[in-house]
Amino acid sequence: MSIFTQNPARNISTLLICVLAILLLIVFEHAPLGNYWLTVMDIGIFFVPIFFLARVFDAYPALIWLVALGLLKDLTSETPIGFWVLLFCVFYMLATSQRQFLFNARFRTVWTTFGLLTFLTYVAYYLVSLLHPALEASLLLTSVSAVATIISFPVFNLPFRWLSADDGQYGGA
Amino acid sequence: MADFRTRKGEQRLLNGTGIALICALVAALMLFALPNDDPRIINLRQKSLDFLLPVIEVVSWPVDRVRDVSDWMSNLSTLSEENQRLKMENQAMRQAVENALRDKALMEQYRRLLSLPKEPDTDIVGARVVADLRSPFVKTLVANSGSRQGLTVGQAVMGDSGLVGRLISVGSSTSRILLVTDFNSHIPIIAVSSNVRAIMSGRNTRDPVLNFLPRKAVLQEGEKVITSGDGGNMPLGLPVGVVAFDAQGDAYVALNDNIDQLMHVRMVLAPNLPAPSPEGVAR
Repeated sequence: MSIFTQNPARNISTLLICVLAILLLIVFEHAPLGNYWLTVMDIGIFFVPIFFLARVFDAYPALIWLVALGLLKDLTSETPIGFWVLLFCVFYMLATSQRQFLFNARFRTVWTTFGLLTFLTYVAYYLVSLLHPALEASLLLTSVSAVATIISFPVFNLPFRWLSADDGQYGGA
Repeated sequence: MADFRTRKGEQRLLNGTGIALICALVAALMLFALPNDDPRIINLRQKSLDFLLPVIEVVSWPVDRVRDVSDWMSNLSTLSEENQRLKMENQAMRQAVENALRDKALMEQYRRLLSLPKEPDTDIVGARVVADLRSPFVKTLVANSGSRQGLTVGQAVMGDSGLVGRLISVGSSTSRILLVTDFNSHIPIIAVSSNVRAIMSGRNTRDPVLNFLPRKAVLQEGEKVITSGDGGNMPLGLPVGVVAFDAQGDAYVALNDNIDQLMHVRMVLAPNLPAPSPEGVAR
């Protein structure tokens, strides 16, 4: 069950906004920025909308979209098919399991939980890249990517805070 | 706002966590079961890039404009020095063109004397880099030229002053470039002064290394590196970079072009050499 149960139209618009945000972040990653360090890291800013989605939306349609977006990311970023689908699903699974804990939680608690879940997802990222023959793992770059993702949370989470303000999400500031 | 107490009635295995777990397991199975180099997957990747290209271009537009303005500002501050440098460069280039024309005439004479076959002519197709797919795992770019412009898989890709990669898949209007720094890039080269042949291999870092060097090969720091044309995929003599040595004494190639700043590339349309027939080899 969703915690957005009172207005189905709003549910759909929330899902679409999150899906669009993830899609744009996936595409924006491929914009030629001309910076070497940005190309050697995998900063997962798209985990921010996934985190929001996991907290507010029903599993079925959200997961279908996440699997589709994960496949798209695998296709465009040339990783083996299933790599980003797996990470999106792992992150979503971890985030949905924290729904009840994060209900009306303070922002600092939400951020800390996001940090912990992102760290666990990047552990999975590192382990899979160690095991898969087509991927080359780097502990340092994976750690830096995880830290950059966690640090970027407050900025990229702002639109979602505004989006959820009416419904009392992140209720305690 | 719905009450979380209603969640107690849900069956745990069918909630978000359970379904996500099943999806994750299926994804893990796909990850290790599907071959990454399957032609259908490569084709699908190319098709998805062709489809996403307009979106990537729209999203990149503000970034490109900011970059243009920043370039313009930095150029403005060094305009006078740049002008002076270009004048000197122009003078040196005129001299170099005269030398090249003289060398070309001499080469033509030597070729005739030795009855050597003429190297095939190469055409160039220019393209703009529209997407950067580089990540910790792969080093590829997408350019906005494809089969409509006559591009085919395997063709060499040059930056402003040297080789930067080769085409690994070509769509109707886009093509994917595997950079020379990618782990899967292996290009036969010659170090010009010492005439040493080697394979330049990417290692997912800034500079490609030199592998398969002859045992007694002596390379000099700063000596020019060009493509050897071995294998027939790339023409002979494309400039690549210069030989350099790292702290451990291993040779690598310092590329002529800064791959991070590539905005435009040139595809070399060299015809692939036909394989010799077995009968011809026997004779």
